[in-house]
Amino acid sequence: MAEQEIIVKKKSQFRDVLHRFLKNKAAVISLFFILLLIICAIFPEQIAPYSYSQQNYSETFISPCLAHPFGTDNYGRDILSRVIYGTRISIGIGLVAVALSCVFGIVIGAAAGFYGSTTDNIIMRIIDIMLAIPSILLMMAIVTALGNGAVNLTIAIAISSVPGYARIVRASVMTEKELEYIEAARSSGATDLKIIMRHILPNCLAPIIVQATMSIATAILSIASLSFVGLGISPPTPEWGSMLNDAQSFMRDHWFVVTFPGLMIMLTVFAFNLLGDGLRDALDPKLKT
Amino acid sequence: MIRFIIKRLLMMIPVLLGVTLVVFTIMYFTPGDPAQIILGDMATEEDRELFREEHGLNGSFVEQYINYMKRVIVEGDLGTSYTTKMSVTKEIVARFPTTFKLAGVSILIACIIGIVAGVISATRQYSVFDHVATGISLIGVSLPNFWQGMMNIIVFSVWLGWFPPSGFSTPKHWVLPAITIGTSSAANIMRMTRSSMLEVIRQDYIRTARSKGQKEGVVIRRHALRNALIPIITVVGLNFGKLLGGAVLTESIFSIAGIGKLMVDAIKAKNTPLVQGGVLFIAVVMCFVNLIVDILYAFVDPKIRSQYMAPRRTAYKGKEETNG
Amino acid sequence: MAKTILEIKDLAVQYVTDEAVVEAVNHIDLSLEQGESLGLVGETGAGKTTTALSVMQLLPDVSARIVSGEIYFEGEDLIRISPAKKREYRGNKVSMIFQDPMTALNPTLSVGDQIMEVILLHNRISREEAKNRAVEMMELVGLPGERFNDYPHQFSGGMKQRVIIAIALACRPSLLIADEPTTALDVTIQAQVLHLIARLKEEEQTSLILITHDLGIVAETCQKAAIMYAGEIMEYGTVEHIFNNTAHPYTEGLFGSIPNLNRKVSRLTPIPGLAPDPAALPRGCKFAPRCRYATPACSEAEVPVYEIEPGHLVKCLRAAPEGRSGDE
Repeated sequence: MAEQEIIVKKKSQFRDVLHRFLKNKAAVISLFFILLLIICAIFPEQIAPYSYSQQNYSETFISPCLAHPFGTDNYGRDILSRVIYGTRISIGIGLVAVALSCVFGIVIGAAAGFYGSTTDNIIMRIIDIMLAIPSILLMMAIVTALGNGAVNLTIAIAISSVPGYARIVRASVMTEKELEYIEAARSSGATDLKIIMRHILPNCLAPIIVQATMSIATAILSIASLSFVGLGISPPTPEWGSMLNDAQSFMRDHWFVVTFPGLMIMLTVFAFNLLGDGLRDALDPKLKT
Repeated sequence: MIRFIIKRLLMMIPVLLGVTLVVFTIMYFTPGDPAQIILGDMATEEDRELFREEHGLNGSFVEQYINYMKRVIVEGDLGTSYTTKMSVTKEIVARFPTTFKLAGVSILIACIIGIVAGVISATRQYSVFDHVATGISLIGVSLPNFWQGMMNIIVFSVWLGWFPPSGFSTPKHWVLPAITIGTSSAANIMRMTRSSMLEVIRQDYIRTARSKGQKEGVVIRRHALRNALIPIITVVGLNFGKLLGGAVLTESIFSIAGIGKLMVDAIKAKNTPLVQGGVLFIAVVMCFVNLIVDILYAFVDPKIRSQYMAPRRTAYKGKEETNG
Repeated sequence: MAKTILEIKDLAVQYVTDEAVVEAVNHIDLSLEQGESLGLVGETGAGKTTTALSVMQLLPDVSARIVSGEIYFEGEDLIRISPAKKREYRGNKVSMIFQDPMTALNPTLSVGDQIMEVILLHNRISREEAKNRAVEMMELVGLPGERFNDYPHQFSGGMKQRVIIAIALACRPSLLIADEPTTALDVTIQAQVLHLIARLKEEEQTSLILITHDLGIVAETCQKAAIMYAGEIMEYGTVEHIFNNTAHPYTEGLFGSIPNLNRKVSRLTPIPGLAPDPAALPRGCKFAPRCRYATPACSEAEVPVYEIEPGHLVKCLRAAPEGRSGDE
């Protein structure tokens, strides 16, 4: 009787997590919003009412109306369409950069945590150095060195968010590797790589998933910040940050040119943060605050 | 305690050396010839050669780096800014007070708002106040602060005309930049205070304090908040360091001549000596903030205090845990 | 007859969570006379701590709910007095020693400060005097007074429990509740701490509620005992009643699970099964599913309490005057 119960419990662990997640309405709404953004990023041509580069000098600075819900900019381009096309950069680069830094961060953090001593010391000192440089300046310098462009922007953001992962993974690996089941795996002759991949990493998945979600939010903010100072994405490619940069000189007379792109950044970042919170609560109810 | 501080100061040296190396490397590989950029198209090849000579730009990567470090360490000279021809040290020293004041005011306000709101939220978990405060703080964390700065200018200076949109001369000028910079710090501090307090409130010793017949307010302040302070101090330190490094974009938006704006302009102009000097300076400031944070830990937590007093190998480990 | 100091009447407490309502304490009655000591015995989750926290009025206010009942202490209903009045009682007239000394002390305050705090709260005396009283208390519980300024992490588990005892007794309470004061300690320290509590209780004429799952400790320190199961008191009486004239099958089961040197048995007889899920309690007798004497009648209706001899109460159909349990 009791044994059966335990088996049933193990099977339903995933369903428990799903159940807890679905109960968090804010997180579910965020997830839908993010899915919507991803659809926008994949099919902007079908969704946007106008082209992102279609200029119309007779229709500059039109206030929000039915034809142009977010208004038009100084070239008469539809802001809504440009915002929709802008998801491509923000979501695309955000996801790729986070995936990259996630992989590198896990490798580095796992190595530091698992091998300890000298390896750990060297890696952690390098991370200390990276953390001593404000990340925005580091990213700016890297983009300046590599040159503008989506790829270089991705690299810069990925590099500067590696330390965050490395620290989290290292901490989890360090606590995890002390536990008895690792000793058991080792005594049955498993190799280091196998122990890390099969036993340790799956058990620190929860904090990694949460960190990944949250760092997409940070990455999107960074993309916008860099484009805002004219680094990274160059016009006419629509990007939320560079739209704000272009519009900065007109903001005193036309509030909508800066309001909507910024609002999109905020909502997107907000959604990823909410999703991260929701995932944390669902994955680890003990941490729930 | 003194021994601990000296030890920490010594540990800063390799980090700072690493910082200079990283920045030097990035700047070295940045395309474009500074001589060309600074002197313009009208300069002759001789002029450019002279410029390179003057700024130590000849020789291999290693030679250049060693020359640079020699000057920094032996003479304490961070070089000369390409654009203004002023010494980098002077440029930084001239800008730092502004950044420091702005960061100081912002972090102070952020601390007050963040800690008070966080404590109330935690003691009334799931109340209306808690939901509203948590929601606002999450928005605060999600706001791109350059955009928030722009919106503040539109609303409070263009529409309402309450505060000037740029400059940093009178306290009235400080309000909008301080709000812009302080928002995300306040939000971060509030979130950390709330979660740390929630964890502490569940502890047995809080029940012990209540079982003594202690008033709820005193239980919260004397027993709970004190124990919740370590992670709060960490976040405050982190945010203060970030602000001291220059709220890079906010300073640009409000045209405030601080470190942040200086750095953005320097990176864009490929003004290598200024970038290197500035980043090094910011790194030093951050290291000092971290040191102060570590010293504050000792004031709050007697366990950490006794570790500092009797430095063992575990002392560093303990610090790592509280950081992580 | 001695003065009744504590009287619990029909107390019922529930914990309400998102998923379920947990019935932790189900309509119990208890009373305690001045200077008397009562052992509250039961398995984990039987509602012992909840009962204690109800008396302290320290139930977690988010989830716990007192559904019914009164708790009279020196004639006043602790549940219904004002919060300020409750604080006046707490730590002063009613004190509690908690289960885990490792976590019960504030790590950021010196132990001396923590003892002084309760003294200053309930006495109008100067800090100087309070400090002297605190040092006295430390010495009373066997701690050197010089350690006044030391912090909890500098003490061992047993010493921390002494500090907690000093806090609990600093204002000479008339009722002391000790919630498994020794379970978290080493065996050798356990006896020391128990003797300390028993000695101080004797000296101060304090009434004591000792919560434990160990019948041996009850036999040693208490005059009366109440056996709790699933939030109900199954058997109540003097220690002699409980030990020599065991009437409830559950109490019998508890005795069967302890090794006894005097009796010759080949093996222990544990109680089969697990304690019921307090979110879904069975109808009728809560113990019936695990009881070897259970009859269909047991699960039909609420079981009344029978007084089988003066002061010996049993909540079991087998204790009914006619003894009809076996026949039907």
